[in-house]
Amino acid sequence: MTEPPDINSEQWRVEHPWEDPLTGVRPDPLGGIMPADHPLGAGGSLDGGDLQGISSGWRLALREFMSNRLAVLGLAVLVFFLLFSFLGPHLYHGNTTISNPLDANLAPGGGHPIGTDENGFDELARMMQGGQAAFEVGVFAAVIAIVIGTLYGAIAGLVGGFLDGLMMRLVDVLLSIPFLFIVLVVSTKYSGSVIEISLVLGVFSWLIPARLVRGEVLTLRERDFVSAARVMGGSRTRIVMRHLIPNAMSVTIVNVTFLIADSMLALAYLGALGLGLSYPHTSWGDMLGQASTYVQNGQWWLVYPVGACLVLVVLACNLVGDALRDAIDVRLRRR
Amino acid sequence: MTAALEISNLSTEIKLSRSTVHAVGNVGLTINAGETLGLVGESGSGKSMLGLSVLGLLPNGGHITGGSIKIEGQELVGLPEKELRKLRGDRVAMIFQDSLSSLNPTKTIGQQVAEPVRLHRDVTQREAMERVLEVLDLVGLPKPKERLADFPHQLSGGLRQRVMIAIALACDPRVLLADEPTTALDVTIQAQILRLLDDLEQRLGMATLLVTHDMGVVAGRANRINVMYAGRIVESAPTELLFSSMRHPYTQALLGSIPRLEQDNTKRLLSIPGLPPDLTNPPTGCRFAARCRFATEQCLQQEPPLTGDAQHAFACWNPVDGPAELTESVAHATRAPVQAARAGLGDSPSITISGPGVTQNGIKPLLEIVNVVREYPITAGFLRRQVNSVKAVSDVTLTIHSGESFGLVGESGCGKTSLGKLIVGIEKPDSGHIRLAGEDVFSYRGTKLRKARRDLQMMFQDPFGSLDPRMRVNAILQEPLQIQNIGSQRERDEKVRGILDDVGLPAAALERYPHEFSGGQRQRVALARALMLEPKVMVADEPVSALDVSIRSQVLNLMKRLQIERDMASVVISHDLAVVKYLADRIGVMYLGKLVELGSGDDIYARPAHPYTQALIKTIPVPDPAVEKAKTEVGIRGELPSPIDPPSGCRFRTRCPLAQQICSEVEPPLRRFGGEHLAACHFPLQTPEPDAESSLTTAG
Repeated sequence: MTEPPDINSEQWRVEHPWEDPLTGVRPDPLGGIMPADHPLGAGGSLDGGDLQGISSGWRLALREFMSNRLAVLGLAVLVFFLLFSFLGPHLYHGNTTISNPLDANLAPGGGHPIGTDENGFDELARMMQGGQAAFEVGVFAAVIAIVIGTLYGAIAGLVGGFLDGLMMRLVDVLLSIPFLFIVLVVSTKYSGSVIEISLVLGVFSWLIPARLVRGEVLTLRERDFVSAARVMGGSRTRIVMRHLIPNAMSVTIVNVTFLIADSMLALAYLGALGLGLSYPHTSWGDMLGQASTYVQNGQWWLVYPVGACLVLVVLACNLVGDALRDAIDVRLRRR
Repeated sequence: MTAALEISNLSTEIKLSRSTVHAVGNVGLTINAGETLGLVGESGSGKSMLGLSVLGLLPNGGHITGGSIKIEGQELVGLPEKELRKLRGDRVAMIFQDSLSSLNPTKTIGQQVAEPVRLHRDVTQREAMERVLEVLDLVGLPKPKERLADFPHQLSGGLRQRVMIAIALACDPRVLLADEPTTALDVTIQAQILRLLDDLEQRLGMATLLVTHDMGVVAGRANRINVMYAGRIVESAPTELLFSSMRHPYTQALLGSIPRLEQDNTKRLLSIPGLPPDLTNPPTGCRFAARCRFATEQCLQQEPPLTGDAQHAFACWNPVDGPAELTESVAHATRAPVQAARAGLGDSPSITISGPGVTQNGIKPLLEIVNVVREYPITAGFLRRQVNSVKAVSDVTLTIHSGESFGLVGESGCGKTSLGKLIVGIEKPDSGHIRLAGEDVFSYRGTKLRKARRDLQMMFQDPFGSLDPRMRVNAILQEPLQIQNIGSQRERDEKVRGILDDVGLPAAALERYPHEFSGGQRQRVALARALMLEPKVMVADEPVSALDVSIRSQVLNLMKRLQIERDMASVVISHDLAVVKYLADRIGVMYLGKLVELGSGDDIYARPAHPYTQALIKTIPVPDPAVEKAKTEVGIRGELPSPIDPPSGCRFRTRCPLAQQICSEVEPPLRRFGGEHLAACHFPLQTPEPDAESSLTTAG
């Protein structure tokens, strides 16, 4: 896109906005231009009315987002956990690699603020490690899903007709296969590293975004500004790149946040079932799965801190997603 | 005698998250039983909020801050919700604008009309149903007994509005609030509903508050009119007095800004510059001052009180006296060449409908639409089998000459928008041809088609949907030049600036997004975009119908000026004959996909030959009480038949008072009524030229 012109430069100065530029004739006072003795000044008001103060769309969206207290709280929680997971390990070092039965199942206190687990690993350090995995898998899987889903949905919506029907029926079929079941089956074979799990989750969660994007494209396609671009002679590629994709972006952005939350939860399920990341990596799900046998023994520190992390991060993602949707709507809301 | 509705010093505010809208301020009005009070104002003037205040149905955050509302002497302000609920639908009832969203789609109309009766009267099911039949009969719903079990979607717009009125009348209200009751309806149906309201008010002796933006609607039926601007009543007078000798400049400008059928269309409309003030932060002094051409220093400082006698009150420091004369001519540039060319055409009887590509009198028509048909398929079943089709445009033939402004008029669903889309190539005709300067441009493919499109541009109806919300105005206006690859970046910038200036927007508009503009300003941007490529033909689809009255004349004046200066042909599509007559030299009237009459503005208005055209003229509400009150007949009976299965023969015959046997059997051909005046009717209201018939057979 070209740079917006500097409207203060000499080139852009309009001499007499109320004067007819072609004939040099000033329209009659009855025609909407103020007479010379008007208290607000001659020609003080443009025929079309004054413009409102500039408020960029994104700034408006940001303001709306920031006025939503829950969203700001959610954002703060996310930022905290990002720092906790990625910066934390540099500040706090705990044993997460060498099994040490002497330190097993220690209660919080001493050198271990949140105690240790059955292997004698430091619980706090493990939580940081698990946080890294949650964010990495969440973001990777969401990006994979959104890319596949957006392309698939956009193609179906744009081409329409028979192909659209076929593609969407395929989505219906895939959606009727239990997600967790298929992921479990696949992940017995391919899991262990962050990339592998992200791929498995991403490849099986693009269905809902595909539907959403298709719906959005279908409504956008009928909008007058798309017709206008066609009337100008705009090519199909131009319409897709300049009009449809930028306008479908808001749906996509909002969806990413929800996908991240869903992928984190899915990772936790897998971990709890023992199909998560392989040693020395760990996820919050792994930790919860291992700890489930110790809950009855009163070793609460193995369950509640990790559980709280998971719930808080997923909740924060959802809050931010909700607020983003509202904020982006505000930009486009009619006045 | 106590007034049926008495409002005094009412103020209403709506609290938003960051600001407060002062929607209604110090408003007072009185309506006696059997009277109609017209409340006229633009959108955002607070007129609907006033109506909702009476019912206690203000939107979230809305509350009455002062004043009183009395119904037959009973004070409503401060009444607990429970008491108010007893009043609503019983002694006060409301008719809403949009009957489709105001009726519950999951309940039958019988249940919905019965609901207020069951709520407010102690009656049995059977008695309630009797009352339902009674009111449905009263509002003129044909065969009410058979329709009781119908759902709202099974009724047409006009019938749904009748059901809405029936619900409002079910408990014999003393006060009826009608909020834009006919705005969503077609003109022919609007006339029927207005007549019904008139009739009911006289028979039932209710007090009616008729809220509308349309001066024509109130002219014929209100006893008294209050004009509202920015939350204040600025003028209040009996109807005749208000129209003949208004005192407030706003009333004067509002009336002068409405295009009229009888008016000379070379005169500029009176227009009100600028936009209404923002009611979250209203100006001190007179709220109209910034847009008023009579404003003085005093107007900016002090707010004028409502003065004058009880008969005629107004709030203005510098009142005017009576309506303004429209004197200023639009034409800066002369249109002589075009007119001469068209005068030449008029001499030749067989020019308008002629063989393809034939040049006559040395003038080639710019745009030829030849026997164009467009039908939208209706599919059903798993395999999308076509079961039927909507006949949007059926065999339309017309020619448009360069520099000419052609108007298309008709009710919604008559195919006028489809024809417009066919002209610019958004739709493709199922059969027939569209030729630009003799060439069938839409048979081209690829780059050639793309290049050809620059000569045919379109301005869309909805200024909110036609501009990409993610593009700045600069990008929006540059886009056509980029697509067509015209000029260097510098030339493009210059051109954008020139056009922006032309449509009356400052250069600062360039870096804004569409949502930062008002409706009228957006429509200016849309017009500028259509003009960027300097098309030979511009199609304007309902260019002003989404705009407010005061903004409408700004855009009409602008379009008129640009049409003349640019010497470009334009096709103006509108449901409003007055708008079309103001903008167009020649008018085509469409009915159910057929062109039924074609002629100059005067031909159509003064000498209509087709009964449909005549009825259409009769139904248009005229902002003149004398004309409106003299109207005795409704104009057109019934509703538009379905375009899926149009009537045989003449498509208008089902609603035509003159229809005979032949009308259902033989489709009438277009016949000539002198010059370029053509109409398709077996029993025309004018005498056709006897010799013209043979040369017109190509039309059938």
